[in-house]
Amino acid sequence: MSAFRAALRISRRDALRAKGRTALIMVMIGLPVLVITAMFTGSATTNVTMREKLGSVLGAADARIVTRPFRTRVEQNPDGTGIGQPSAKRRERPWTPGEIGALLPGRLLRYQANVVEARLADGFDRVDVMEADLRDPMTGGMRRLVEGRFATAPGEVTVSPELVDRGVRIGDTITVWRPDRTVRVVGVAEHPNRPGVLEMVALPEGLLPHQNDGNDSGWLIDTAAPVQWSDVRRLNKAGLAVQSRAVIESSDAVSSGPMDMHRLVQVGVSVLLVVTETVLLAGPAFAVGLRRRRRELAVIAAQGASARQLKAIVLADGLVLGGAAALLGGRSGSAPGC
Amino acid sequence: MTVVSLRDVTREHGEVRALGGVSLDVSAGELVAVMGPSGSGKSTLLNVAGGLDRPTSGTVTIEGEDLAAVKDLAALRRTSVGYVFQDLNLIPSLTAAENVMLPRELDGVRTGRARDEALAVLAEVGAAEVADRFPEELSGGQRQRVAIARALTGERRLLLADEPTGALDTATGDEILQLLRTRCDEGAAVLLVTHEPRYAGWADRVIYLRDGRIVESGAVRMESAR
Ligand SMILES: Nc1ncnc2c1ncn2[C@@H]1O[C@H](COP(=O)(O)OP(=O)(O)O)[C@@H](O)[C@H]1O
Ligand SMILES: [Mg+2]
Repeated sequence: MSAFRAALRISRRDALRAKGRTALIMVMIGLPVLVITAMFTGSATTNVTMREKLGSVLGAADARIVTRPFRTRVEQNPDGTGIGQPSAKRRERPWTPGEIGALLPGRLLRYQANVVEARLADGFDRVDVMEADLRDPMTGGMRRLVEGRFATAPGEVTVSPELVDRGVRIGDTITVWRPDRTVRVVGVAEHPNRPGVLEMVALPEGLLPHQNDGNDSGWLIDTAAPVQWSDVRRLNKAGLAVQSRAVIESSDAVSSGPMDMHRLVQVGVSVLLVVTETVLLAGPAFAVGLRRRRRELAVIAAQGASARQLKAIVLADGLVLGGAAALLGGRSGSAPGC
Repeated sequence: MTVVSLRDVTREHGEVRALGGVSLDVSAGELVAVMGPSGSGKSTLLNVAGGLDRPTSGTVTIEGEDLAAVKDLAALRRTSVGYVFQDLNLIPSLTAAENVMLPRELDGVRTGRARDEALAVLAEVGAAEVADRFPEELSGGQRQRVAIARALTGERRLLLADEPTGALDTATGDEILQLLRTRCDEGAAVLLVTHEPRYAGWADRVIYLRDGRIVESGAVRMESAR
């Protein structure tokens, strides 16, 4: 046991002395571990973040119906991300509220969003535009009115506090480029979880032109009963993507069964990848600087180290460096919000 | 008492005959100097005598044990034989004390006890004050003292030194020789390879090698040379 302690001591000291080699091994082993854990952690935390920003996306609505360019069947995650749709030959006619009401009864409220260039005191800058009637209770919680009032007519906007910091005042007019328009500031409204965003909120088509299906537009819906996963799948089939409050808030319910299996496979694949790549890369990584090491091993052998003990020293190298690299990679890969 | 004994030992590397039938006994308390031109087989003799290398024929006996019958040569080296080379003796990433501890730790002695022993031996060779320094912070003479300390830990009685003064200046070399002589007088058997005829004067016996054979052997201990 004390022989192995001595081996670990040598490896640790060598790792500190030969910093270049250590860094190389750390990168060769740690980086792939980092990427894999980051990927895995990323997919595991999507639900949480979507749940957190539910208010700003859905307001008080039961769901948000996102139009798509085509009417082919939509594939999506329960939280409404990862939307995919096979393309069709031609674009369909635009969705109408009537058509949607036939699929899912409820009260609809139009929204659309885009990014425009706006002239500020210090030149043009990119500004987010969200269009929805914030006076409607269905939007409760999407934005917080800080000052003034919400837009009530086309050509009126509220601005985010960040724009106030950039010199915009209530009563000012802002010149927008693409589309070329002039809008009047009637209030200041704050985004609940994107502090620092440059944003204007207007009535639908009060600033932007009409945005076709699939171009960041759709409806919020207030239904009698919560929108279930089965409803989501039904609308998917018709070619619409859906973010449902009920589904997102209880995403565990949806993910039980096949989703657990899915996660299990994910974990399995990650572990397998980490192990394989470590085995594949560790060899070349440790070959780095082995020549220098050989001299040292000869000295240790002359002091009476057996072949087994010499192997233990090389193994200790692997433990010290490989362990540290994997740990570091894993830790930074799973660090949230970076 | 004979510590190491070689009988008709040969060592061949393919066609090259590094040792061609050498017989030699070194007793406890005896310092034997090995001299001879480069390539005459001095290092080979040392390696065979210490179990770092096995003879092609002949027998080597260390403290009564025939090496041919010893399965675990490494263990025997740990407990009976200490090596000191010309340079690059010490492991750069370990402190002086940790270098001295190493053979004992490899032998399974617990770290704390190994350290106590190491500090004691370092004090005996006059290197107590450098115990916690790394080899690169030591002078050449200090390094050899540490290497000798390491060769002596665990009460090993056969000390094999291959040109231990080769990289040192004359004054420092003399100090190291003095140290070897002292260890010898306290009971160690020392086999010393050297190029310096002056050091022959410190030896109890000098053997001259040429082409792997002992060509001359004699007690040359001259009290005046010391
Ligand atoms: N591993 C080896 N392989 C082949 N020849 C060797 C080997 N080791 C030593 N020799 C040869 O054995 C002879 C004696 O070498 P060595 O014992 O190192 O001599 P010395 O130490 O007196 O200079 C030399 O001719 C050397 O070339
Ligand atoms: Mg030699």
